[in-house]
Amino acid sequence: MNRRDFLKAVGVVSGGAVVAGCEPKKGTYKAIAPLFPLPEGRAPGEPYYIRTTCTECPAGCGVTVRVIDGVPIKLEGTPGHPVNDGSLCVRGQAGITRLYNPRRIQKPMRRKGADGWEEIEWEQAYGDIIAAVKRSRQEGKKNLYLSGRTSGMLGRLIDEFCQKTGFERLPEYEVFDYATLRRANELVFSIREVPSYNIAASDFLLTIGADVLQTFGSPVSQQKQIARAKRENGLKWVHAEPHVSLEGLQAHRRVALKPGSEPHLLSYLLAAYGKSVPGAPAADAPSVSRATGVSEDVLRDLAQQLRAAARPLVIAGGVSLAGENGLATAVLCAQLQSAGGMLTRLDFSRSLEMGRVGTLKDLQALSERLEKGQGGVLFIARTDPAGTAPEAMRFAEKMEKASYRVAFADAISATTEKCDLVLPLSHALESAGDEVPRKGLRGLVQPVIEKQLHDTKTEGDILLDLLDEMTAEREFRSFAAFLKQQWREAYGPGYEPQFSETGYREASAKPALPAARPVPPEVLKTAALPEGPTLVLTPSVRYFDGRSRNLKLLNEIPDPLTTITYGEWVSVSEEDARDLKLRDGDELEIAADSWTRVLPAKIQKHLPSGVMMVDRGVAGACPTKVDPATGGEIVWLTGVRVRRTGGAVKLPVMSGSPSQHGRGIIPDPVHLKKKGDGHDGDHEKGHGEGHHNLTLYPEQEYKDYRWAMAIDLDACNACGACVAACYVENNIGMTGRDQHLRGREMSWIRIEPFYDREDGADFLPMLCQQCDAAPCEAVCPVFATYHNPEGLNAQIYNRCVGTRYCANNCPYKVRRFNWFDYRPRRDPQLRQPHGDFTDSIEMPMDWVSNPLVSLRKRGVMEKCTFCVQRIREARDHAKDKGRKIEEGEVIPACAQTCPSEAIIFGNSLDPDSRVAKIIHQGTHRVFEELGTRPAVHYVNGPIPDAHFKDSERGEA
Amino acid sequence: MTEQAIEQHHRLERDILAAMSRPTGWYWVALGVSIAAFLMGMGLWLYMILTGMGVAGINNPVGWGVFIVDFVFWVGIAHSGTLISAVLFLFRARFRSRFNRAAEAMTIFAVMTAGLFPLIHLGRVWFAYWLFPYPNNHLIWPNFKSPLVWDVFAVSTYLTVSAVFWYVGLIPDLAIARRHAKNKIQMWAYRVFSLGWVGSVQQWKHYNKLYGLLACFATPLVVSVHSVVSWDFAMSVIPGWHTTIFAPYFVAGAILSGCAMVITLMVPMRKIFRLEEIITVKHFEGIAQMLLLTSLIVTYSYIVEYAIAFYSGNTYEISHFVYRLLGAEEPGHYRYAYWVMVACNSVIPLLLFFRKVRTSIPALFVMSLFVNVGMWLERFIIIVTSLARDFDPYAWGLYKPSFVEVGITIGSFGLFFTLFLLFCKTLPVLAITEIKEEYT
Repeated sequence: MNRRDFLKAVGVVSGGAVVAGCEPKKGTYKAIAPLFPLPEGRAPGEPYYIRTTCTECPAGCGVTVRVIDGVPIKLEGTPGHPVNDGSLCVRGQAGITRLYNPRRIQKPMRRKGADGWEEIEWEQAYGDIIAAVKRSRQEGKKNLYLSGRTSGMLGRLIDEFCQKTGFERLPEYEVFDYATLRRANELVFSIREVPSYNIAASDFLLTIGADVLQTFGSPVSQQKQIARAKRENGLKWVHAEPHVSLEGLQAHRRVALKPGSEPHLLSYLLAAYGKSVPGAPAADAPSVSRATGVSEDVLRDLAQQLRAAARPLVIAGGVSLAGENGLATAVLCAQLQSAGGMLTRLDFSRSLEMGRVGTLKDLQALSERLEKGQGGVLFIARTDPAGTAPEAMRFAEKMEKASYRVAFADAISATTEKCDLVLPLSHALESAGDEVPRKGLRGLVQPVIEKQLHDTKTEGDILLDLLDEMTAEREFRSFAAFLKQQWREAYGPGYEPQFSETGYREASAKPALPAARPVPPEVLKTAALPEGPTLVLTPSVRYFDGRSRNLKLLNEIPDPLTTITYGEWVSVSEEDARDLKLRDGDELEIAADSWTRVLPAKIQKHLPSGVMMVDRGVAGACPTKVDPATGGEIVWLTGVRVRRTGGAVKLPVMSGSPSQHGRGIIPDPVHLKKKGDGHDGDHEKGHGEGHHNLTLYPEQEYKDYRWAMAIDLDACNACGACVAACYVENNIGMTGRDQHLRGREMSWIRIEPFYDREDGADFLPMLCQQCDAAPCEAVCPVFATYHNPEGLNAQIYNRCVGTRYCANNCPYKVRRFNWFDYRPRRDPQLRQPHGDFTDSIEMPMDWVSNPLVSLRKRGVMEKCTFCVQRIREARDHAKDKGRKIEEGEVIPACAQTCPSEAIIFGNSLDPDSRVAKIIHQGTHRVFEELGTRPAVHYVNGPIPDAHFKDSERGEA
Repeated sequence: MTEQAIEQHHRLERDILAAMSRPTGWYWVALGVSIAAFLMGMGLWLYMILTGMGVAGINNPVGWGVFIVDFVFWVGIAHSGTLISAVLFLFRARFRSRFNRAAEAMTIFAVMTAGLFPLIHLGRVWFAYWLFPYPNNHLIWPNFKSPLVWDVFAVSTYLTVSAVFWYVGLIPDLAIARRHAKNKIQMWAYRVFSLGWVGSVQQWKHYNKLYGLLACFATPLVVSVHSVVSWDFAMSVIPGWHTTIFAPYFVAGAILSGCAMVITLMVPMRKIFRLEEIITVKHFEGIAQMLLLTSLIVTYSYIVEYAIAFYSGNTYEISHFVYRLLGAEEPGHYRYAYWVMVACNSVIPLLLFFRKVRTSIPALFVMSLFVNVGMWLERFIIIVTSLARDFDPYAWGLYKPSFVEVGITIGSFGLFFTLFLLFCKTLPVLAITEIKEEYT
């Protein structure tokens, strides 16, 4: 070899090594073929967007995934999607952390010994299954296929699989199965479905127990509709409930009912329409008042408001349908919907797609069959009956009587613990599929990440593999091929561009008006709830039915009512706390039948005395009952025994005080009105402020932009979606329980609840107010925080030395210090169902990092930047075009995801921007009297649009 | 000069320099304990640097905790030195000569100790030099609007001037020590540092002029340093910090704590080095009177603070000061801290109105300890409770020092006592020439 050849060889080899080394390690396992061609002309590092569908709950919101170099970075709602139109809820925003969740199962696992597991290859797993199937056939046992709610084409494949291999497909099991509501609609309208509620078209909404903001139906869609109806129709929202929930505190008016008295209220309202239903409780005001505990005045007022409304709507759901009187409530509600002329706003042509979701009766039947030893191979896919079914069913024990149990799951749960084999499922962002949230609407699920993170498969692919092995026929190369064929059959050959571009397909449906029919009086029989302490399991916006409890991000974000982050608690009323001499954190032992549970108490204002609340996701399998009439779950545990254990734990309560101590943080309407009226003099000064803040310092001068924000507190529902979006967008550290107990949460935006009103509470999103006269800026000795030319209180992480004076001096306390390096680390212990979360970034959670936002080291202050990276992106874009940034080009992550569009962001120097118009109209600014001149404006009520005369311009 | 006077001078020199004789076992024990405490503190600091500020108890909203309390405490201690040497020198207060040397040494050591805390509390101490204005090519320049930058200048100026003042005062005594040197190293060191002092009339003339000048120069610093330190707080918007009375209030508090620390140090020193004859009860009475005066000023400030808060009608101020007074119902709310402070700083010193107490050395010693504790608590209350409850009730929180903070605080005492013990054995603990002057 001569010198030249040698050098060439060296060049080729080292060049190749460098090129190979440049490729980041994306996923350990094989590449995933994209379902549809990816956008062309991608440059490395440049983001591109892929449409898919959120699978966190059955609502099926459209999702647009921001992807950089084949790695999904952030999920955002798909604009124009019929369900969510651009928004996502807190769970949807946290959905990306499920992909990178360190608690995911990474390889097929086979039981080894009593409680050990061994990781095996897929071929071995298939072999085990086939052997087990053969065995059970010889034994003459039935092989069973139980799954969670399955919508879309996967259902067809499961059918095909079951039919070809002799499995029996069981009714699906879902915790929130709407059994009672469906049964009532069947009785009244002959349609066993949950309709879509057209709240947007109504002007008066009465919800009875239905947690329309959190889990009921399609929460994002409902939040959006409520906000729009408030703006457009002047919607008044009344929420009646037997406990206390986010809905009650967010509605214009909360009516507290005695548990189980909902039929009385409905009966009264029916009577207001001149309708009496045979078998329904007495409808005269005194007896209804006695039964419900609502004063006659309030009842009369409510009936009158309902009657006066042009387009009222009543929705019953949630815990109100999950009691002994649930069916009566649901039936009477349906009757009221009919009597009140609300049926046009009940869209059964767009009913929630419940697939083959059965009821607890079906699960009961299964457990009896298993008890008798009739179960052969039992497949349990995407559901956790052992962890959630009523305790009396003893499903976990009975499961073990099946001869071989296989779980399809993404993480360990009570159910997988009882299985012989666990097959890890790919995350939706790694899978092809489809999701039908409601009738006529198909959402596309497509792989987004370039390579698989772990050795996982989709359920469809597993079934195809098994079919291949068991019947030796392979029709489809992959589940993706199966899907494409199904879709082609359904939509014709040219469906692809539209489907991949929008991420959904909607068939036009003609709503048929349902007709109500009388029901047999015996279903309306009501029983009074027994006296004594009652425990109710409540669905929650963070954990849904418990499925999201193992996502750290959702634990990091406070519960909206209690502001507790990590851990479990039982909410206790103020009266009960007084009787039991309880303080927050004192442990209570709650016992029902043979079941006991020790939980720390949290005192919850407005909770009726005698009622205690536990999050459904925390409660797990507990002595709930099966409603014999409907098969639904009864989540009111009556006659529980409560005892103080004497122990106490510290609860990570983020709120320092439940009261605002008369500090005027939340504007009261009177205060606002006064300000709005007096705008002639003040507005000339600049910001349209009410306070005459005299200052010796020169005004800040801005050339092109002054970024500002307006938040509509009437629209804000405190759902926490903005908080989750902020965490993901800005790479905010998740510090864990211990740090939270020390008051070291890192959230840049938080929702502050204040329980000052007699009948409710006020919530305020607090983020950096980007003050014009910012107390933080003056005190930084090294100019790490400074006022940028566009009005932001910019924080230069590299320059910060960490004196923390800026945080001390911030009246809003929105600055966050990096107490530690939140370094990624890999911890095998994390693969526990609800294993404790650590204070570091658990691998591979480090993947959820936005490359446009720098990571902060320890010893550095950080804070909300109004998503300055988005402002920069928009500026670069505008600069390319040779113009200024236009309205709507910059939307911070919090505003982008807000389901009720409560956050408006823009350039207040542009008189045509929405934010400038709102500011002009008169707004409230928190602690304005300090002279900080914040750029975050709060309004309490409908945000004005358009008409705005030039002469009135406040900002110039 | 009479025979007798000369004899007295010799005895004085002997007595004072006797303190520098070969240390006893107890000295070594004390020094060992002090150094060990200091090293432990440094070790904890290193641990904190390597791990993160999170090992301290500070949090949101209490971003400043024991470290800043210690800083203000030590700066306060540092006050009496210059006060006793410079101000009392100008006022010709005679009792000062018994205390000035030790008080100045205490000042310098306390400033050195205090100076560590701003560094300790920095999130990224490795960039501490960014607080100094120095020419550099990465466009880093301190923000002169920030009181923290004023602090840097105030404290470093104070340290420099105090050290120079101290050293100038030491020169004649170093010459005396040179005369009594026992070995070559001592001889060499005292010779170098006494700068060829022979005690000629010419030298004394220049010396007195310089000393008087330095005293004049140091006097405003007594006021300025702690005023600037107080502005660290007063310049903020935080209720409990943002008040105009802070500068005089802090200066009075600093003198109070400084005097207390002088008593705390001098009582045992007098006993151990058998200086009872030189430092008499009368001298202590002088200091005690100052203690009483500053205690009264501090008490007055406490009252004014409340008066301003309530007179302002400002919700935040009022509710903060009510909180300071009463705490909150739940445990852990610094409920008794304020009352302990008032007892230590305002009530107990009132006993000094009685001559009997004023002239009882043990009583003074015990009282000085109370005042030390009280003044530390005062800073804790000002810094911590103000941050714990400011404007937004949602953000209210509690702070509890961690073992790192406690350890570093102990370490700071270790450093202080190490330096002081070394001082006792290497330099004349009393100003010999000045006392001589009194005897003639």
